[in-house]
Amino acid sequence: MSDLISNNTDAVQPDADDAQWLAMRYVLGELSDEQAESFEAAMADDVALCEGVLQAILLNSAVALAFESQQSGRTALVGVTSDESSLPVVAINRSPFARFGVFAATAAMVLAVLAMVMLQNSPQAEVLSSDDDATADMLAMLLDNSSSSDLSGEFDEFSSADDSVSSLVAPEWLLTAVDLDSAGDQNDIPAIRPEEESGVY
Amino acid sequence: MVESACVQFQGDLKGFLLGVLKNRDLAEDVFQKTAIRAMEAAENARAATLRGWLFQIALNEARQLLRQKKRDIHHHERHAEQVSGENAGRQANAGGQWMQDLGLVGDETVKAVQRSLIRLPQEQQEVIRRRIYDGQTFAEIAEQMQLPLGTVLTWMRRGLLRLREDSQLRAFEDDDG
Repeated sequence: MSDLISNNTDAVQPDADDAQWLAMRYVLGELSDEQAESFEAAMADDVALCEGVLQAILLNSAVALAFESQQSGRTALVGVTSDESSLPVVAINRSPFARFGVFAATAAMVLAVLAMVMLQNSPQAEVLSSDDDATADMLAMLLDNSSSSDLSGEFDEFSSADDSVSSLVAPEWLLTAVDLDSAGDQNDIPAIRPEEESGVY
Repeated sequence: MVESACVQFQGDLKGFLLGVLKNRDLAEDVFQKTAIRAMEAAENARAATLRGWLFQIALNEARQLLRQKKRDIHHHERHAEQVSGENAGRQANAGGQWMQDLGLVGDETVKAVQRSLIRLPQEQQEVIRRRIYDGQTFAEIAEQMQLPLGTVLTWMRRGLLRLREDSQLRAFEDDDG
């Protein structure tokens, strides 16, 4: 079956080579009608030419399949690559630089937390905390005072989108609230009142 | 004897008929006719020349079909379209899968051809790919690659010759055979 491929190692035989080439061109449909008919007539007298046609079609098929496999292999390779990139990969083989980065970020977070704790425990923080308490008191007072007024109208007034200077004028209820607060404490800066420090209100 | 020979050589006969008819369906039909004709003429068969004898019957049946189609203008045009240029190449590609299914072209042979193709000069690879895989005619290849037709034919011929001479391919062909 495979004589023309397997046994024809002597490339200097011009007749055999020509016959193989003719058979390949016949299989590929590259011969004219007259040439093809002549070749078919020759095959009827020479079985070796029939074998040549078989070898030509087998080589043709193998080459076509080889290119086909090559193409599908590339496609599969692209698919594998994209799959790998989409995988939720945990850094198993991280570089030392990446590991150092993770360590540095963790240390920075710990330091930030420590700094926040220290700030909260400092006297300045207590002042700030007292400020927050004073603001809470003022808001509670505002709520008490506003209970007797029309909240919806105030809300409309407050939320009106007006960039003019007049919109920055404090409403009367706010001035009243500030007066009440300042009446209780004459200092400009809200100070720590004894009752606040002891938690008695 | 003839019946078993038809079974034994059916792959080779179908491959040969594919080469002659350039059409898988026609090749299948003609193989059936060949088997019937061979069994009808079994008394003329000789064991020593049985394979060649079957090839001759197959060729006669194929040529008869081709002549019949050429007499019919419509069939002739359809057939001419099938065997010409690009379509011939596509038939060859489709035939490749058929040859594999029939066990005539094994995976190892395909891998060996792949390895041999890589070793070919780039221009020979290109011409072989365009002609056999893409189905372009030699004239189209010459035009697109802006080369003389003779150069394209020479590259194709040299490339195929080197593929056939490749030791690995030859070894696998022996195994497949």
